Order: sequence, then C-alpha cells, then structure tokens
Amino acid sequence: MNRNVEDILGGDDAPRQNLEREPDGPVKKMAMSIFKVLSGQKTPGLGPEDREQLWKRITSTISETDQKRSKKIRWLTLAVAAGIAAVVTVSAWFWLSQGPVQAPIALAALSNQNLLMDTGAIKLMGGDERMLILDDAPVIDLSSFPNQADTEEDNTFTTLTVPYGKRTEVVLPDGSKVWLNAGSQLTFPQRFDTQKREVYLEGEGYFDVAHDARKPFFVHTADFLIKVLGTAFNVSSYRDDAFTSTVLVSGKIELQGVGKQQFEKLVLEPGNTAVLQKEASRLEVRQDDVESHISWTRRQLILRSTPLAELLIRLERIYNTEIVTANEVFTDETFSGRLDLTQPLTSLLAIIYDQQAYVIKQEERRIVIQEKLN
Amino acid sequence: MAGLTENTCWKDFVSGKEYAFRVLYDYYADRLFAFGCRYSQDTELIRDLIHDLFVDIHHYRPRLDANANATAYLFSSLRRKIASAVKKRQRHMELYAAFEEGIPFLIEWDIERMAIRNEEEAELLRRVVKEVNRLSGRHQEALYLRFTCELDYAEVADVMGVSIASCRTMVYRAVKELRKKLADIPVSNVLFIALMHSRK
Repeated sequence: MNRNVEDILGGDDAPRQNLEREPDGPVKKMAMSIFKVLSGQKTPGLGPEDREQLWKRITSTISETDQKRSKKIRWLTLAVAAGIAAVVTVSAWFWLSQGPVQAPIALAALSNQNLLMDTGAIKLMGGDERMLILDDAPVIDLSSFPNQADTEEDNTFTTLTVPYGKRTEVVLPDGSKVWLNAGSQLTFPQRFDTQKREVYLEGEGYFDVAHDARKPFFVHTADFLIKVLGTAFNVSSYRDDAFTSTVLVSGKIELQGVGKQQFEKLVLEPGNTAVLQKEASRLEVRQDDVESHISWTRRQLILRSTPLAELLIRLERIYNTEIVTANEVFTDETFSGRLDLTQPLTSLLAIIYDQQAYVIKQEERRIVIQEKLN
Repeated sequence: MAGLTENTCWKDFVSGKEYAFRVLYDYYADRLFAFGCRYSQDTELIRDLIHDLFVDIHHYRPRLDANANATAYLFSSLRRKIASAVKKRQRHMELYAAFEEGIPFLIEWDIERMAIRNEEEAELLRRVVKEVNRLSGRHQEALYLRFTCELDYAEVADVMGVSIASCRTMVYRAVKELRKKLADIPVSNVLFIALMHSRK
C-alpha cells in the first residue's frame, strides 16, 4: 500500500512514531521536512522566575477575593420547578445584570463560545464569563421574567450551549421558542433591543418566533443573516458542515449573505429550503420536504438521499459518540427513510451496516465498524 | 509529572486537594504562555489572562467537570479569554471581518529555532514554511495544536470547538494541501533529514 504524506502525518498515533515506521524514500523525506517545520515552532515559556512571580500574584488574588466574596453571594438565584415535565426557570436577570460588555452580537457569540465538553451539561454563559449549568433541563424558560425597566446602557449577551448528545428547548424573553440540536450554541442579549430582536446561532435550531411587527427578529449565523417576518423555520449552521441551510415551515423570512457569502437578498416562501455550499459560495433554493429538516425536534431523523458521510456526522453529534470506520466509507451510497433516535446508536448502525458483512464494536465513546474478513 | 497524569491531577484538584493546584500550575504555566503568545504578542496580557484563568478555576472548582480533559480545558479557556480581551480592545472593529477570521491566529512560522544541516535543507524548509504560512488560519491553528503543542485529536477538537472527526479531516487536508503545493520539489535530491529534537 502506498501511503502519502498526509496518511503518515494525519494518523491518530503520535506523528513521530508514525514517521519512524515509514520505510525510507521520497515520501518519508517530504513528511519529515513538513514535520520538522510543524513541530519545531516551540517558543520559550515563562521561565522559572516569571513563573514564580505569576504564581504569587495568583495566590494573593485568590486570598483577597475569598474575603470579598462572602459579602457578594447574591448574584445568582435559581428556581427549579420540580415534576416530571420539570420546567427549569432561570432567574438569569439578576445574574445577567452585571458586566460591562456591550458588543455586537456576533462578537459576543465569539467570545462566549465555550468548550463543548464531552461530558458537558447544558450551560448558560454570560458576557462576563459567569456560567450557569443546567442539568438536563427539558425547557429553559426566560420569558417569565419581567423586562427590567431600567434604561441602563449596558446590555450583556448570554450564550446557551447544548453539548453533543443533548438537545434542549428555550423560550426567549419575547416568548419565541427555539429548539436547539446537539452541539449548538445560541447567543442572545439580556434584553432585546427596542427596534429589533437579534440572536446568533452556531449549530442547528428550530425557531418558532413570536409575532411582533414592530420588532423584526434576526438570526445571525456565520454565513447567513435571516430576517424573520413572524414564522417557524429551521436553521442548520454547523461550523464543520460544508453547508449552511434554512428551511421555512410557515410565514416568511428574508435571507442575506454575510461576510464572504454575498448574494442578493432573498425572500423564502413556506416549503422553501435554501442550502448554501460554503466552499463554492453556491446558494440553491428548492422546494423540499420540510418534515425531514425538523424531524430532530421529535427525536426522529428523516433521511432523503442523505449521503452516508453526512449521516454519520449527524449521528456522531446526536449521540456524542465517535464513529470510526476502518475502511474508507466515503462512498456515494445514500440513505432514505426514518430513523428513531430513541434507539441506541448501535441498533441504528446495524440498520445501516449489513451485519453479514460488518462487525460493529462498541467501545466507550466510540464505535468501530469493520468489514468482516471472508 | 512524575508518574501522575494530568487528568488524575485535575481530578484531585476538582475534588479539593490543594496540592494539585500548584502541580497543575507548574505543569501548564509555560505551555499556556507559549500557546497564548500565538494569539497575541502582548506578553503582559497573556500573563494577566493566565493569572485570571488560574484564579477562575480555583474559584469555580466545585463546579468544574472532574472528568474533563485538563489540557483541552485549560487551553480552550485561555483561548476564549484571549478572544474576549482582543475583542474588548478592538470594539469598533468591523463586525463581520472579525467574525470570519475567528480569533486571529498570529503564528508566523519560521525556521529560526531549528537545527539545519546545510543550505539545501534550509532551502527546502523555507519552502515548507512559506506554504504553511499560506494555509488558512484554522488549518494553521489545527497544525500548531497537533504538532507543536503535541495535543491528541480529542484535545485539538475541544480547543477549537469542533468535532473530533472534522478536526482529523482538517489536519489531513492541511497536510495534503502542503504536500500538493510542494510537489514540484525534487525530493529525491534532498538529503535525508534526521529528526533533530528528541522527545522530552
């Protein structure tokens, strides 16, 4: 088998070991040169003296703040309504009312973007980096808090993070509902502006926007700006997907490119799906089966000629499990049908991969699929 | 870290063992500093942010995830702090220009600190450096974390906020792009380059 430079350096093992195993030859030489440059950028650290000095600063700050803190515990109140369909209500106002940040929403989203930890819970993060952890809250309701009347200038942004493997539903201060899919982050201001309502989405969300003609609702994504004229629609804008898409269920939305993605403003009608291929900057609008796009809000995945590679990426996100295929599986094979997401991932994979021909092995957060040797 | 892995130390720290705080600091301070300098040349700022980071984890200790990957957690937290500090400084910056690029990744790859055998090798490495510098910021960042910082894919993915699969693809594609750009060099004429620095 002829390995190329990227096969040697791109492997899971430490690249150095991989290189050592490679037989001598031009490919190895090139791989070594590239490796030498990439690994040879180490810069000096702090050095022992500075490190000690910084340590002293850290410990003295900690002992100072420990004294102050006892007076300042009132910043967070958390009311939990228990019950089977528990609705967690967050008194985020108190919590959000601190912090001087006032920045455009996209920048706030950028700075709030927090780690989507493997074992992470659903989290709310304020502009001042305060974090609130909401364990398995089915609905996060931010609407039941009176809009503070104070006209203070500072308005902070909050980011709600849904890690891989989880989903949640949030009711925004204006009553609009958003279902957030696994691996998504939604950033919104503590108070909506008097002129317009703006949120920033990374990942996938289904929006049911409360009608308010005087305050249009905007959804920012890395590639799209969507102006909502009162409506229900789905947006998928995962950073690691090749596309950004939106599908309109009802009402009317207006679409506009952002940054590199420039195209004419476009009004979508119900049933329209707009798909932007990011790399090629190609926008396509088609009449599509709306159901398949929003099925995830009902714990189903509806596939319509979905390529295998895309299907595996979606399952990885939903189940927060890495799916490793021993052989290259980037075939042209596509799938149509309905998958029940309440089932364990191995059962779903058993539908996709014929068990006569493949072995599916479950490791901890990883599933390995191998072709059976005959 | 004498027989004690980073993640056990992290677990100890989260569960309240005071010794672990100092051990974590000693183990990570230099690495974090070197890493931070890739995003901002203001070394004072990076010092301040490392200070804030350790004050924060001490403060929020009861709420930290004991099973988190310590390296990934600390690197990504520092990265986030830098992003937010840089943003505050450039508040009037063009909204989307800033966003498109993510946090500007400043590394200017060079061959200054490398042991080079001869002019021929220097020539080749200069070409490599030139091409690496032309890669997209995200690709450069992924390569830096994977090769210079020696993080594994799971850690790189956490720091960059993408899935492990796409992180692996990113590294693979970046190296492939390099390989293609460098295809015109007659490698067979190049002297064999030994791996210079040994692992610590």
